[in-house]
Amino acid sequence: MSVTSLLKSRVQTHAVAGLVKLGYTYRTARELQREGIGWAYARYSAAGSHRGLLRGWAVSLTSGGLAELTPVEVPRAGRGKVTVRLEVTAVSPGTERALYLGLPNTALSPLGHIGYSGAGVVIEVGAGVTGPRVGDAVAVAGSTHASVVTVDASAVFQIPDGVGFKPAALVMLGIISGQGVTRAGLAPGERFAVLGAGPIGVLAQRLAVADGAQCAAVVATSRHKEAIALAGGTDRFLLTGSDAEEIATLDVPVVIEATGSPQAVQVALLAAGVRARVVLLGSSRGVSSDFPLEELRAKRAQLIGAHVNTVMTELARTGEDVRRREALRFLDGLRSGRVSVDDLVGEAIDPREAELFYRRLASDRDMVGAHYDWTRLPDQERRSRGHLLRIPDVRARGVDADRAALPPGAGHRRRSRFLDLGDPFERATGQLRIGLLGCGDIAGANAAGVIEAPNTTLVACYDPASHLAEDLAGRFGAEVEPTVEALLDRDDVDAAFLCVPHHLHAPMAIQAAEAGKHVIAEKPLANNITGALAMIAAAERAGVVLSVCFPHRYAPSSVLTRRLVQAGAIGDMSGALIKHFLDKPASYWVGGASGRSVSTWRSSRELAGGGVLIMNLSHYLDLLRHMGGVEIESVTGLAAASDPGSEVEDTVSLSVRFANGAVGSVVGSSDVRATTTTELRLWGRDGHIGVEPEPRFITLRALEDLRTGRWQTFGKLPRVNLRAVFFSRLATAITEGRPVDVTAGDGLAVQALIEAAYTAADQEATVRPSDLVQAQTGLVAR
Amino acid sequence: MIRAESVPGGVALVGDLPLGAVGYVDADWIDADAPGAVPALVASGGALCWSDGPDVTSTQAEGDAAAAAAISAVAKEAAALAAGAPADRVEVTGVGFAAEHVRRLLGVTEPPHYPDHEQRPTVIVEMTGAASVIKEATRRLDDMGTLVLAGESSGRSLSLNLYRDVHSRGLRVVGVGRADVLEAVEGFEPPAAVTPGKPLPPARWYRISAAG
Repeated sequence: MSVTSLLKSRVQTHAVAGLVKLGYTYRTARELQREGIGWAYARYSAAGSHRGLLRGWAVSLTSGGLAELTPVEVPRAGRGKVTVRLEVTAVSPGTERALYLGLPNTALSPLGHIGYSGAGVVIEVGAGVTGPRVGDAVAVAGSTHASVVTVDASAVFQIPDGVGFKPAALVMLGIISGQGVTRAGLAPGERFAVLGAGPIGVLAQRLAVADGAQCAAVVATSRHKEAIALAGGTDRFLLTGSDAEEIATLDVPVVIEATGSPQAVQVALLAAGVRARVVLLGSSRGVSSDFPLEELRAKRAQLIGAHVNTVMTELARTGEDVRRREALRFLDGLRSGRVSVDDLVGEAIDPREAELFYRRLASDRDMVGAHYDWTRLPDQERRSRGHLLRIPDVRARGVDADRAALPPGAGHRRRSRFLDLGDPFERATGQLRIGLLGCGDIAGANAAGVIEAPNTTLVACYDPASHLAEDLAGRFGAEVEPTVEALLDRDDVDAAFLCVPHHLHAPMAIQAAEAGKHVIAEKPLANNITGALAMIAAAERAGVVLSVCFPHRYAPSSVLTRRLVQAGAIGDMSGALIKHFLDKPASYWVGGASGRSVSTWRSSRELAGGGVLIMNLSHYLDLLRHMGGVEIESVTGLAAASDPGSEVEDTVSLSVRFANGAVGSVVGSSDVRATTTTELRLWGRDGHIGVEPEPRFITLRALEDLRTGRWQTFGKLPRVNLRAVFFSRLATAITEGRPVDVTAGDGLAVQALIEAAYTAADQEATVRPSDLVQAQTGLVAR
Repeated sequence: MIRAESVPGGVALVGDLPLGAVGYVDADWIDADAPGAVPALVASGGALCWSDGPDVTSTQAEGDAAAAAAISAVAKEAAALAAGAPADRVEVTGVGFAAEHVRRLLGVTEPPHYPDHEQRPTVIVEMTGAASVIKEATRRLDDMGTLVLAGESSGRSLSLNLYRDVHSRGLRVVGVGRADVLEAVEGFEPPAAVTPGKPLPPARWYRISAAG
């Protein structure tokens, strides 16, 4: 190690250590260091060119083992340099998989940038450059995956007429393969075999065939790439394991090894004839532990190391620009049609989805090619003016759970439209007149919601404790009715809202439906499945709407979460967590949360249907179904009551499995001292959303104007009366004759889930909610 | 089968040679650090063969001369692969008869001497077959240099990081195998006659006869 390298290494180590001492995690410190290096290097380069900076985006591998799109600054083209706005950059699957996975014999650039081949349009030309001109379409050897690069003019090659950006973007792979073929010294008509059917192997095969050599066989580890290999000019495709005997008969004078497997040299020598040349074109990812020395000697064969870096060695020694020679040969092959790469360019990747792509690439060894399509980024962001006086952006890169989430729209020049909530009452129509049956604990909040909604009216109130009805009627401008029947007889009542103990939901709902009123039940739908089914049947018979008040669906964080899930922000949901803790005082069990109405029904399993699960967690179970968009298929769990005299549980712990195979945990307790806290999160392979307590999300998908691959907040969320939104949307749906948001089926699904959880806890078994419903009806719950 | 064994005072050769047979072993074929089976040429009844392999067809030679021809043939072929390189950029590893023969053919000195410390050999002719020497040779070679592997590996395993040691540096690694048709050599240094089980004297190659 040179003194400079040693010094640099020491400074970097101390810088990271210093940042860790300041409280940053090691990963964050490493990314801050990279940002610092990039910041300084860009300014150093810009000082050399005297032309300032351009800003764009680049795919980077961060120290967390992730890929992300990070801001990048490049100097504007100085003497001998060219700045190119890239349209396409080609992925080299083998090399990039190895870098992403940190396999042996890989070295990441100090800034974590990745990629080495692209094509685009020249946007600036420095002094002394005689070749490319502004506006030229060019292939760029050594280009990283970036929206804009400044490179030596010698690395830029004009794309011939008739050749597109995508094939031209493979120029560096063409150079790598071409110099390997050249080093093989193939003569026209000479036979050769290729090991590996990745882009390098296939390109080498096609370039050699284009030069007149004869491809005796392509040898690979699976048949996935057989068609591509056969299209390259051979009629023999062999597998390394099962076709070993046939490989041994190849007896070819030249083998091009393009797999990079440490064991491939054995296969190469098996195929090789006496005095064969074996070109090592693939970068070996590991140590060849049992090098076949005697086979090499016996066949008097030679191994030829053909790393592309050797072209620079040749340039220094002989003055021959091998890179240029091979680039022009490749591009001319494309122009003339002698070399075709249409089947190697592969799928287009949105650069913002780099992490998703590399995760797929990590496990897909059969991928032949792919390319980043930089036109997916907004044009103004692909390259913009950089500022020399900009200070390093500590938030520029690196996903780290410990770092603060970005505000919405971060990294863009405008606020995110995706997260705009709008006015929840904007489309309210009609006027739903509501009669309140039961004026106890929750009725106050519901009456306030009815009043606040622009298209609902509280007409009448009933409660057997008449002072409660009088209280609400007086506060919210309604009339008091002496009986249920009297309220239901009123022509000016369109809907009855049940705010009564759970066991009364079914009989009163049936009574209201038979009176021709729409029915709204405070959650849950009923105290058991039997009651819920009876309510649904009554509503269907009467042709009225039956809904359940699950207002949490209208919390801004819930609305945005559902929007994100539906847009694919987390992909297919793979997991969810609900944690809800509170501390119910003893007075709750005789007077509810408000103490307005003295009653002990809440502590009765029969009357209430259960404890904290049905009373509190039912909201979150509905939310989970609503936001995740997947039904819960089975549940197992435990429940406990801390008070030996209590009939209902105050602590519950459930494991649930969703219909798509995802799993979830639900844990709740109303007996956690001095605590009120809720945690709700959903995640999938493509993202993670924390709904509560601090709404934030990260997505690996490129969604509209959201930043990909970084934790983001939902921004400042408006305060909304959730019940008012529920009533308003219900009224609008009924007026317009559309399905309501919360259907009776939703209520039944939650009811069945709750009952399944209790059954599972009682029987210590796994229970399917749909089985419980089917047992009573012969139907399967939706 | 001829074996090298550690004995008081050094390393000795022992073997199961048929009566009247004579074995020949190059000094570089013996791994003093890991005694065990060593390759050998065995002359018996006018015929010559490798102890672990095929017969060798000698031309008008018997005994020491035939064995020298067999070893020299490998050396000659190895030297031919280095012939184009300047002598001061060629290095030959090993101290045995074959290695010395290569040096003589190429006009190379031992140990190698590079007047310019920045210079590295462009060709190394490796005659020992030892893993550590081969690995060291790949690292000492100049970029895009040639490594000629002509040493007997004696079954010793070799692990190579082909990326670092060969691929990325553009090296050319050429194998030179045993010759099966020989030409007579003249003026060779005779082998040192050794007694089975007795420490080997310093020499470039050895002749071992059946015990007794």
